[in-house]
Amino acid sequence: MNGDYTDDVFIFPYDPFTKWSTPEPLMPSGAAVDYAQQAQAHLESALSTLTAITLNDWRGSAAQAAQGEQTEISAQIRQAQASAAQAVWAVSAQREAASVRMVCAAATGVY
Amino acid sequence: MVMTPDQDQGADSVNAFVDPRLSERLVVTSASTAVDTDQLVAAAVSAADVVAALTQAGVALSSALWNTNVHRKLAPEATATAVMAIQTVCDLVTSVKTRVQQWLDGLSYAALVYAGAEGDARAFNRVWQLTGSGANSIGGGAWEGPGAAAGSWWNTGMLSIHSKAHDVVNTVETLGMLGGGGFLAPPILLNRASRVGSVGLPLALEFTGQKASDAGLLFRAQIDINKASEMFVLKRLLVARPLGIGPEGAQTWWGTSDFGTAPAALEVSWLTDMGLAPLKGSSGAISVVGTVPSDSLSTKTGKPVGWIHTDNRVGSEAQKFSDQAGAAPPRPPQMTATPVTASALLSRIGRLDSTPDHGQFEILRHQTGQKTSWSVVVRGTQVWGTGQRNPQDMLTNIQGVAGAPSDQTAGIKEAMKTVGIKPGDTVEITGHSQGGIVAGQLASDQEIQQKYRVVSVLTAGAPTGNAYVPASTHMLNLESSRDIVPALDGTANLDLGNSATVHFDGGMVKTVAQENSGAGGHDLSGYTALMQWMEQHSAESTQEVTQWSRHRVEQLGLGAETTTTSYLFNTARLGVD
Repeated sequence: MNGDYTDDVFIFPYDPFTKWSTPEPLMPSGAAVDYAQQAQAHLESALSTLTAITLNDWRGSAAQAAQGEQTEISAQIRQAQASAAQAVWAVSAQREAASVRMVCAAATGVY
Repeated sequence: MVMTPDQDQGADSVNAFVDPRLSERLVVTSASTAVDTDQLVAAAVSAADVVAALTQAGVALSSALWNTNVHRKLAPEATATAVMAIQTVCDLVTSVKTRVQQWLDGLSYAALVYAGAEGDARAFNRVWQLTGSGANSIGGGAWEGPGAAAGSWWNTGMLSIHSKAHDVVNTVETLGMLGGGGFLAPPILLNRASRVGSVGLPLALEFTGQKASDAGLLFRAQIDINKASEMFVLKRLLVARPLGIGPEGAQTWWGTSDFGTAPAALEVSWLTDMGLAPLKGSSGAISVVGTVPSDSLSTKTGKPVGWIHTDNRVGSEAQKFSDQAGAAPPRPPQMTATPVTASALLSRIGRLDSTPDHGQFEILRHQTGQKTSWSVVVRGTQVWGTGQRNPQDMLTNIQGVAGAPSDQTAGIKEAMKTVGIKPGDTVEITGHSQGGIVAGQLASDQEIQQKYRVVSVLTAGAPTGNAYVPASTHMLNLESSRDIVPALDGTANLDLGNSATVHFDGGMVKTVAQENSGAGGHDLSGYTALMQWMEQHSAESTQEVTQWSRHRVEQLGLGAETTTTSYLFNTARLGVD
């Protein structure tokens, strides 16, 4: 720990010296987790909607091309979903790391 | 017979830029194409929901990114990892969203053209609204939303009509016809035109002036909104509502051909032109009633139809008509290049002459060994009035879309006899705009069907929904999504066995002639360029076009050994100054 973290006091809209014992300083990283999970849910919704689309009767080759595109788009959304899961994990890890650092900083008085 | 070589060889090549994406913006519909339009529209709506979900995911990820960065100093390594992970998802979401938008664009386009092809106004409206257009955007509103481009396909069509309307208004004013000239233009029409300015359509929905007895009544057009097709109702809603005109009720216009006393005829013409009165004889929604003379008489004068051919070869009667009309001789018959391809045939239409004094059409005689076949080539509207000397006018349009005979159809039928087409001879008919209506009418005409072997019909930019062409005639219709004229029939094209319609995005085909004419998607050159493109890019999606072309060439017997002679005919309503 060193004084490198003193910049953080300018990020929070409140006085960290009086609020450090509460979870509030970690709200932003908590929100980041929520947002990442929301993105995950939206991707799930997109995939679900896309999968439900049927193009059986659309004209011949055009329908086949559109269905092929639909399959590729589904794969791409699945890839985004997997990445979103990684992002949720990474954001949670970041929150945890920040939490540990903040507790340490409060204990040592060094931000 | 005097034969002179044609100066230009007929098969004009259109100078056009064709967007490579045209193949994605082209749909051929026919009876052999089974499409569940409802499903397609639902797919387009769902695809829009996918775009919306991905947009929300993107917003959430942006927020996550911002909030993660807050603790970059507190936990730099973990923050860097998290930011990188979020950024990866953002990139993927952006990429997939772009792809879904393009997919949606294609689905929307297909849904629009299929719904339009089926005359299914409600389905059309759903996609139209979905793509960000909406009723209030008619005539120049802002286009927003993911599918804004789809809306502009139709907006462009409206605006091209709007431009044309302005031209006519300007012509009326230029000729001094307003108030003190040869005829009194409908004041409502001009007031509307000036009031709505550059963002609306000059409509004339009220008629408060003349009585039928003021002049010889030739027709009465009555619109019963309750019986009108859904497409008609939609157009009325979309176009009339922004101007504060209610969609309900029935309206009647009394029409005469006399400009001096009855502006109603012109009003009906305008309404037809605007798509507000897509006359449909078969639906009962709009009927043309009153004194509609037989096809042997002029609807203007009650006299025999004046068709003129100044070549002595075709008979003294023709010469007599010519003398009476005082028209300049078109030219003697000429050898010309054989239009083996359909695009070459279409390109001939634009070279036909037209003046306020007369219209013109062409008949081609093809000789291949012992086989003789014929092409009848008909141009579109050339005069925006009704009942004047040139029968290629709005009166012919009204009659044509209503399925009634016109001076133009009568003149062409007479010329087909005179030029020497024998019973049983093989014939094709082609036309652009009004010429397409006339082509469909002639091919539907029982007298023509019984007398000749009409093997093929080709129309471009024409409202042919009321053509009743038998399966023995292979009919191909070309309709640009940026051209509202083909929609003026307010109904789907009929298919009795061998009719197909090519729906395409006219914005993907740019020609120099289009820019010069200002006619936009309705210009003949765009249709000719499309035909050329399809001839050069045969694909599964245009297999009906390939089959139609093959049938045409085989039945007409066209080939390298064919010799072709061109006969021009001028048409005029005799006794009309």
